Amino acid sequence: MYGILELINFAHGDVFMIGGMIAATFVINVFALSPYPGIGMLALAVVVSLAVAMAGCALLNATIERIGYRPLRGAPRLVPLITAIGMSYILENIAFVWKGPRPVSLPPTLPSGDAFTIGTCPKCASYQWSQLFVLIVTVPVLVGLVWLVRYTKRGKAMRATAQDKDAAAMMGIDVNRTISFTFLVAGALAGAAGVIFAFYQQTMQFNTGFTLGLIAFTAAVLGGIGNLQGAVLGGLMIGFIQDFNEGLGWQAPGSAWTHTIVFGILILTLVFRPQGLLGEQIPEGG
Amino acid sequence: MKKRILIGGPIAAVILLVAGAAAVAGPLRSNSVSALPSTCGPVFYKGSGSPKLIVVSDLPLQGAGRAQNLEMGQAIRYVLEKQYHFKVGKYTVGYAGCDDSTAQAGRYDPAVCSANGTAYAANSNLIGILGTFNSGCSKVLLPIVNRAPGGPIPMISSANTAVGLTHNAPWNSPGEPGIYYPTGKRNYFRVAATDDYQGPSMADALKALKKTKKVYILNDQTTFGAGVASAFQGRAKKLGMTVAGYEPWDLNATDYTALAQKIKNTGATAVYLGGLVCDNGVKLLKDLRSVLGPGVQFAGPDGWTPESATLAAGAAAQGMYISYAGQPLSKLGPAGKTFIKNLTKYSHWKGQMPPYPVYQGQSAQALFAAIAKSNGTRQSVVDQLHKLKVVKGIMGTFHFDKNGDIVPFKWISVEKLKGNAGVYAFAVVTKVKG
Repeated sequence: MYGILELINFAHGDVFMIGGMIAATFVINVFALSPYPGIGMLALAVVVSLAVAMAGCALLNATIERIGYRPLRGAPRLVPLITAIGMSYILENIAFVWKGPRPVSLPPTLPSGDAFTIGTCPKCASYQWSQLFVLIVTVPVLVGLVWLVRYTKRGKAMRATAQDKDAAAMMGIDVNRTISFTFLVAGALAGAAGVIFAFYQQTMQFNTGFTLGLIAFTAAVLGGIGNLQGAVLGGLMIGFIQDFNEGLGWQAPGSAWTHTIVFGILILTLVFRPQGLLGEQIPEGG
Repeated sequence: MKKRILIGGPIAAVILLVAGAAAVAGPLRSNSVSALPSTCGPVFYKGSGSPKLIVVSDLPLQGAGRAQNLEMGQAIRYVLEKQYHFKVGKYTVGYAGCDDSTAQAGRYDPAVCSANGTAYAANSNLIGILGTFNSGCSKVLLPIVNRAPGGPIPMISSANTAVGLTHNAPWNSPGEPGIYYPTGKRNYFRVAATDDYQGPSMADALKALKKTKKVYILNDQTTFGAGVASAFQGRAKKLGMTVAGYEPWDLNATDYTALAQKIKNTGATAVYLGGLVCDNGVKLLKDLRSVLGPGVQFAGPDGWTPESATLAAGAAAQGMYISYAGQPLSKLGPAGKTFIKNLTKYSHWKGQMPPYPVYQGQSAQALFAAIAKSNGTRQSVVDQLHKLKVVKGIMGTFHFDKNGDIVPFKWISVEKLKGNAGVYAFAVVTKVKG
């Protein structure tokens, strides 16, 4: 989205949160899953949650673009930025009214225990089934996204629009429609991420998306804004930094300093390597 | 047409301004008593004419503790209506329940505490405050009402446990407790024991019940959480426990598994969680349990009440020890047991009565007893509270020391979460001079 509009969409984290809330609704109210259900029931709940959350969040994100950002297309960059913050608050308040102020707590549904271990326990590195679940859902979604962006006509239109809107329009690309489609895809991805988060973390609150959105933005800046591979690299690096800071026994500053460290990295990146580790991909002249 | 709009516009603007100002200042409540903050409900009064004096409660009425805290208001209503019939000594008294929380925060908001305090101070009819629930809120509100124009407003809390509000402790913030009393006059009292008793009592409980030898301590970085965790740490060391780690947890974190892994690597068999359940406590419990397994004992102070909020963590919360700063309800004397029975009937409370509404009933009785003996001024009520001796009351026989703390008995109870409720597990009573 940044690649096309050069807009930091602060509402994106909240679209993700709505996706998680949809998953929570299916787990708690629709399927009424008990802790550690059978694999068949779990698969059904995951698939239905993913389908509904991805469709719902795609529509939500496209609607936000249509009513919030499109009318401001020619406005100074600060205007849509403020609108995005406003959209973020609107979504948070919708979730607040829908689910209340308390965290929505999901039962543990993913299989417990280690999928495999490296080394001899207790001093071993273990990879749990729940972590494997994240990989199982994420990899196909990412492969699908790469295929969509690289090998389809729509993807080509997205890349062309991101590179130069005017030139793309002259080549016959419907720029508005392409932007809407981009928001649709981004919303679906946020919905999928929300479902993964809800199943894995077992909790979701109306304001969960805001902090995560900021951290995701930091990861994107670190990797190179608008760069897909860069975002993945940045996300992994931020995750490692957080876990090393909080989990290592030696003199790491500890969890109270995690956000300071993460946003310190953001500042250092913006000052010393604003293009990020893998370089940014933004519109020409942008 | 244009002219009518020009004239109509300013008139509408004036009406809006007046309506807005009224909303900000708070509505004039029933019986034309002075304005209370807009966070207050209507004045509860069924006597003749208008009440001469007003008592307010200042509690968080939104968020995890809503049901319990609404019941605390019911306890005050019961005492005022059924035991005093709205006539306290020679004064007619009304009551208003005020909220110091916001729905967004789901807990007390210091800005609301401050605004409430300012409005209370400006209300000349207001003779006493029953609250707050959270020590952090009292720390904001207390200095404001201490320098109220009509004299320091008497304030009794049934749940504040932060030591710095009344007396010295090594972990106090600079200037405590003096900074809360800018006039130098002590107007604050509490029926709850303080964290210098609550923290150590949990160490005693872990030693006695679980034979704990190694413990890891976390706190939520609030004054309350850090204070009670420090108090726990001191006692744990004295009891010969190894403190494997002491650090804060990040309230905004979305994952605590790395922290849990660090705790696991230390081999601690218990984790003390000094803080509040509304500080992302449910997520913390879930992540700790998922990594540490069922064998590690969790324990926390009364910040983890109401227990229903902690129980939202499901299996992760089962077996957790939670302390609260008062006598176990099962060990109360006849006055206490009768009060619980009558309050349950009065408020139609379903299930086990939580402790704080009962303690709130005691606070209300103490305040009304002082008002009855006073000359109707705030200073006089404060003086009477310093002289007050409660004999065989809801919480037994006690009085307040010069700091405003309950003496001579400091009760700390410990409950274990089991099923859908907490069951009595342990109690520590300390007799002190004062």
